[in-house]
Amino acid sequence: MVEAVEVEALSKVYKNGTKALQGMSLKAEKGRLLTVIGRNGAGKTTMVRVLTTQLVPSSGTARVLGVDVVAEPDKVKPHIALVPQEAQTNQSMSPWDYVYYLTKLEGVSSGEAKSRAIDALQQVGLESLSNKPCYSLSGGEKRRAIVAAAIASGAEVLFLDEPTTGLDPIIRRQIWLSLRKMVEKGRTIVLTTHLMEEAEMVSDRIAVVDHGSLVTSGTPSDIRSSITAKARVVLRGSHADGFESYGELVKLGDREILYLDREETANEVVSATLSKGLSAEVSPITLEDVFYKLLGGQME
Amino acid sequence: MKLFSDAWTIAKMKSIPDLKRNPLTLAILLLLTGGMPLTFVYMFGGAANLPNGLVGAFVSSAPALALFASAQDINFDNFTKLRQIFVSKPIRPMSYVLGASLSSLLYSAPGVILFGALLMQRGLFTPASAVVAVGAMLLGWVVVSSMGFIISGYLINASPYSMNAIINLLAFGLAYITPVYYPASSLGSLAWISAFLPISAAANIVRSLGGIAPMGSLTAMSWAALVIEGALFSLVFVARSKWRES
Repeated sequence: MVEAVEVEALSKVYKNGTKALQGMSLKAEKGRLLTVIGRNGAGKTTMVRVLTTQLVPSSGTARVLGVDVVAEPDKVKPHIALVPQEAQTNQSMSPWDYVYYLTKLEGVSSGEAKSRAIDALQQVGLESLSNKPCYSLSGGEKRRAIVAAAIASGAEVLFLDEPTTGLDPIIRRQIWLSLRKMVEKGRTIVLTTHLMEEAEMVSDRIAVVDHGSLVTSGTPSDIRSSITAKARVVLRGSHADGFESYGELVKLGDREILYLDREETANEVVSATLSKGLSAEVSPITLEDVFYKLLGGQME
Repeated sequence: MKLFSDAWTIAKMKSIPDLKRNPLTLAILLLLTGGMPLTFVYMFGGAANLPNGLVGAFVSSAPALALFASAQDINFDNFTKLRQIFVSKPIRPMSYVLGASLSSLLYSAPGVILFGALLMQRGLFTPASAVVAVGAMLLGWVVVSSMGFIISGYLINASPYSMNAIINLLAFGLAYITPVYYPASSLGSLAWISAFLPISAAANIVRSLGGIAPMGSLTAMSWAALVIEGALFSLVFVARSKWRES
């Protein structure tokens, strides 16, 4: 089976010596949504820029639909679309202008570009604002216009670099719906995000990257089960001493998160907490917990 | 064919939405690139200097705007990440360059037409010399566009504010300080310098076509300089331009 995206031992050292990618290797299956998560500066955007033919890597290989993006960028371009991180629209353009002209550059007829633009703007909920100039739209509305341009491209593989940053939860879900619809139609999506809920909700697979290389990858449930903690208890109140034997305790100001090594100890911990006059809330491990534990973040 | 159709789409993308929503932009550009200097020429030089002023307005409208389109606009595309989207699309870098340049022609078209018509009305142009004058003006436009693209290539990471300052200074120097709105003969023995500056070289040619300056060695030098500079700057630009970053 040809992978839609295949990155092997990819490295990129910028002229100033910054090592953005250090042997990154990952794959995205055709017709699936792969979400790449990682801290700021982990190499997500650099990888996307290599895969979308903008940046030449220092070493390693990167293929899209089996084609080497470094050796044959012109063969890759007709099959990809990009939503760059922090992209902005031209203020005088309307969402329709933005989507129509960019779609026209795919080499389609004006009629086809118009029809695709209308459809894509509907998908992101911008149909009623499609002819308003961007200077009169909110940041989220402008962001949706940029996402719509990628949707309208007809590309088989879409690279979306933090596309929902700054969007409210309702609109974010509308975008998620569009993304899943595209995947259902057989398109492949490589998404980068800092929103763990987004990664859990839309991904078929998740890749966790750090310092320019892959830390782990798998389905959302694979990733969640990749750490030993099985549940967490958020303790509120004064210091919750004496719980260290149940698992790792992470201080968070006036509250503490206890990551339980065994789920069945949750009731025991809650009883002990309540008897001390503290409040406790048990919940399953989230992707954010896994992200925190995998990448070794320290909050205090 | 796709190279040109993409260039035309980019030119429209960069001009039509803005012109549709802010048609007064055309009037402002017309005033800034030709109307205002022409007013000063008339105010301080009198009616006798008006033909020189009209020649200046005719030859400088398109190249001055080309400088903004080729350097400032492309810098802005970097800032808004539109350039990244273009790079990832199946379009040639030359389509992008042509598109950005053509958009400046669309913006400057009213000025070129108006000042060209005024020159004809005053009897300075015949239909045949008007064609040659447009050719000279377009050569100046090519040189200045290439200069702008070279600048944008060297200063790819400059902020839009820095680029704005640089381009305004350069446009002021090339279109107003050099002998564009006044005859090269005002420079005396240094008149030859005007042949090597693209907009004043085009002005030298148009002035000689209109009979307000002699058709002599300065005209020939201006033609030669425009052709050589056009080829040279275009080659430097093509050699320097990188669609992909390394």
